[in-house]
Amino acid sequence: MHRGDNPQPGSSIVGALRLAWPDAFIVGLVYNAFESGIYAADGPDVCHAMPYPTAGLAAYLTRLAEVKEATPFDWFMPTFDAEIALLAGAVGELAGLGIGVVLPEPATLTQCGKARLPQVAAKWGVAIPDTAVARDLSEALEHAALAGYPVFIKGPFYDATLVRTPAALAAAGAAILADWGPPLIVQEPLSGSEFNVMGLGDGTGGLLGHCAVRKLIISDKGKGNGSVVVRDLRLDEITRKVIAETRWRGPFELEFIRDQRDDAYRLIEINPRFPAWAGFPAKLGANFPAAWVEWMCCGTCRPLPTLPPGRFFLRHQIEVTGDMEQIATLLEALPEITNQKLTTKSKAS
Amino acid sequence: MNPQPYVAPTIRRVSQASANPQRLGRAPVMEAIDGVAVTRLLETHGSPLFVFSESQLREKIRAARAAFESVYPHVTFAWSYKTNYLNAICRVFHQEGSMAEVVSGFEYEKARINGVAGSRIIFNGPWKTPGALRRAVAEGALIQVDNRDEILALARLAEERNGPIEVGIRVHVDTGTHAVWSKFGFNADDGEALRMMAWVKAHTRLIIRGIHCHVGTFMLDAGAYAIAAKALVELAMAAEAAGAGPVEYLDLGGGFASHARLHGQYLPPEQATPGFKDYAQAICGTIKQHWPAGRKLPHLYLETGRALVDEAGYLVSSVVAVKQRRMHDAKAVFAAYGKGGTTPAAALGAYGKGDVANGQGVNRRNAVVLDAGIHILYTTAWYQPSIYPAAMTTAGVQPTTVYGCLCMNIDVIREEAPLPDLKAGDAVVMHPVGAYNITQSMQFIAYRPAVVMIDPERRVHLIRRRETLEDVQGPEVVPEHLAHSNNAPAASGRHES
Amino acid sequence: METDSTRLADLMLNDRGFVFDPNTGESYQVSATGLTCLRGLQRGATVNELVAELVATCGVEPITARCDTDAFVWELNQLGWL
Repeated sequence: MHRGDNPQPGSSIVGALRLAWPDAFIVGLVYNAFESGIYAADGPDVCHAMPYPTAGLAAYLTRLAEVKEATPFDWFMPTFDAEIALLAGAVGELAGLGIGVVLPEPATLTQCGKARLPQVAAKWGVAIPDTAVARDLSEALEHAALAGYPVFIKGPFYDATLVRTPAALAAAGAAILADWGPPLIVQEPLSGSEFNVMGLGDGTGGLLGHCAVRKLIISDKGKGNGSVVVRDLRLDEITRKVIAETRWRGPFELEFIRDQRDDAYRLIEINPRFPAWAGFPAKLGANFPAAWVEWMCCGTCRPLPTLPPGRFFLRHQIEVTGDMEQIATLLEALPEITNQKLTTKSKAS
Repeated sequence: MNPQPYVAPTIRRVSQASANPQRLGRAPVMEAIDGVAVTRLLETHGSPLFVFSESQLREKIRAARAAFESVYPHVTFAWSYKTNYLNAICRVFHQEGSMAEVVSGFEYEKARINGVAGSRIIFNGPWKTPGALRRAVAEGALIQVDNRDEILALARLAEERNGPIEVGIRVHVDTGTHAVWSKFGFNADDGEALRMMAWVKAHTRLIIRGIHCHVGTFMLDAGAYAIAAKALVELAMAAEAAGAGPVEYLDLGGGFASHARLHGQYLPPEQATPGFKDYAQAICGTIKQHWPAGRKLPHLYLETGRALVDEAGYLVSSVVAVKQRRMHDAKAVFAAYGKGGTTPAAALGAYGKGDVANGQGVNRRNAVVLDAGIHILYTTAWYQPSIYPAAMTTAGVQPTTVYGCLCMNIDVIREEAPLPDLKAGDAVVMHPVGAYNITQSMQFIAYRPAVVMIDPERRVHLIRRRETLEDVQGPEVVPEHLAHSNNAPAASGRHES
Repeated sequence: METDSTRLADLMLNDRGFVFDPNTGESYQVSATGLTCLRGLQRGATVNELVAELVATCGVEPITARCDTDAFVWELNQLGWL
């Protein structure tokens, strides 16, 4: 739910849902009491702290059941890659708890991970940057020497660093291995505009809707702090191909670079969730999170309109305000809270 | 009045990194193992105590056999002695139909004593002593030759016996998903293995009946076995074409992952670990796909150890001391699961550098000292066992450093385990620890603990008693001139009051 | 300013042991017994009285309670609260 330099999707999705249903009851699941979206005026009705996905499925499901008991909800939209990896194989268990989800098949997730993408993209006939998967630093150095510097060095889940020398590659690679373990992904850096496509796959190979944008402002973390709606049939075609080949089920974001060398789109990554800009098309009438709810609810959704090219968004940071009492509330692990009010002995405060 | 359980008055600073009491999940309680109360086990057998579940051993090997036998006609499991060679454990697997897989003369002797015929022993390893090799040949063991020198030794033995000796040949394959185990056997990728097979045929009385490949350990990607199986089939066919066949069996070794958790493994084992069916599909599906149609499929041997025994093993231990460890929040990103764990928030770079510690000395982490240490938990160098309190507790969970009992700074069992506030005397259960910890344990500083096995009727059997002083110093010899030395103080030396 | 304002008295607490120090802006979590002690100190209780209360409510042996309470008070001193 955080909306800082590197915004997370949650708040944007909550905002989109509020657009469709101002009175919807929305439960925010957070990993930290300092996630800014908790305190947003149009934020969730209630928030609960969750165990990290790395704590394991049992811990995660136990906590979800507790949360549902305290504040009933019907559907759950995960927005963090690691929790999606955790839950993709647990749709049955979630259903047993009365929690509806839409998630890609575990096999699809594995296939679309960074380490496997080069193989499957070749099979689909989708262009990607030259990419090599290395098991250790020495192999990564070999690949980079062959490809020529600079290269991107990436981890299996997160982290991407542009390196210009073997020493820099070794340092960045070692840091990634320490955090995420192998493999290391060595990828050529491409020059060109960045494009993103967000959408909903219907699970049978079709699209319930999608929206393509070009990044206008790129932050020093590589995040799009502004994007404009574009229309390019080639981008649509690649998107349709990927979704058809994977029979993608649920929200997705595809990241592309339009390569300056040959003007071709190269697929960088497939994210198994809505992006942080999910609220933008919603404001223009293509409300993907609301369509997701309709789909959960009715098994189908009204068609999502194609947005007119030229509409853009710029990210505008604001301050949200809170009180330490709210932090104290979120820090409560147990439901039987007696006195949540912070009190002081002195009269001065 | 019922007194509430005592927890010391403590204070911890709340930092951005720790601002989620749920982050580690709960600490499930393990009050009993296979229906036997942990407290009862400790009362009877002392602490620490290794506990094995016979039911779980049998369930695992049955599940593994079912997974493979349902997709392949000729398959035999061989129990990997080095993974755990307690006789009681080995005998459970032998009762379940497993052969023995040994890697030394010592293990070979144990297998024979456990009633396994020589012809039911697979003999692996890079160093087989001449005596052990001779015995294995005489008793018809399935010897897997590892290197040139062993081939020459066996060739001499064949001449001496004036008859052929059947062997398997060990090879290594680059499976692309794991570092190549090139320590063992001959290279199957660059033609070395094929050349050796042809050479053996041409120049010795050895007959190569099988090809052995162990792709690696703790293989979280079943796909590696598909690559290895294909390479073995291709090698078998090439050997046959070169007149060095026929190859009658393939041995895919072990390496199936248990539900242990590697340091730095982000996804928990239940998501990351393939099942027996996945491995069976990768191996058997590949062999059937590539083996020439109409030919009898080769016999398949498997030597999986860890995946069969790890989860059946528990280590019960007691808290002997509780500490508060000073931590620096500003430096250390909160690591949820030991080395390298990364918080979701940090992973997304959401908070930049986080907040800064105030240096006021209250950023402390719970720590406990157990009566067990890494000398009996060698696998904690690579894996992090789950640690469960053995009694119900109402306190919330805190990241807790779990120290072992050794007077060594490296003796840290878990850098951070989610545990409630514990006190001296509380018991904890570590799991899974059934693989390698018994066989790799060392007698260091303290006696090694007893090992018990709980049978399916919940009876508890002692299968290895606690060590005694005599066990440790029995092999020692004190030279005559030191036999009567005493340690009386010198007249002017020690200060005495 | 009110005369009874001190670092200790100004602390904002709730019943689950969450503590906010308005002087530094830092937050803390104290254990249940820590909260008992902290509130006791705010009332002006002596360490002896805190120990007696722990012994009475938790059935802990006096030397243990004394050892832990002294350590806790030392921590609070480090924070400048006492």
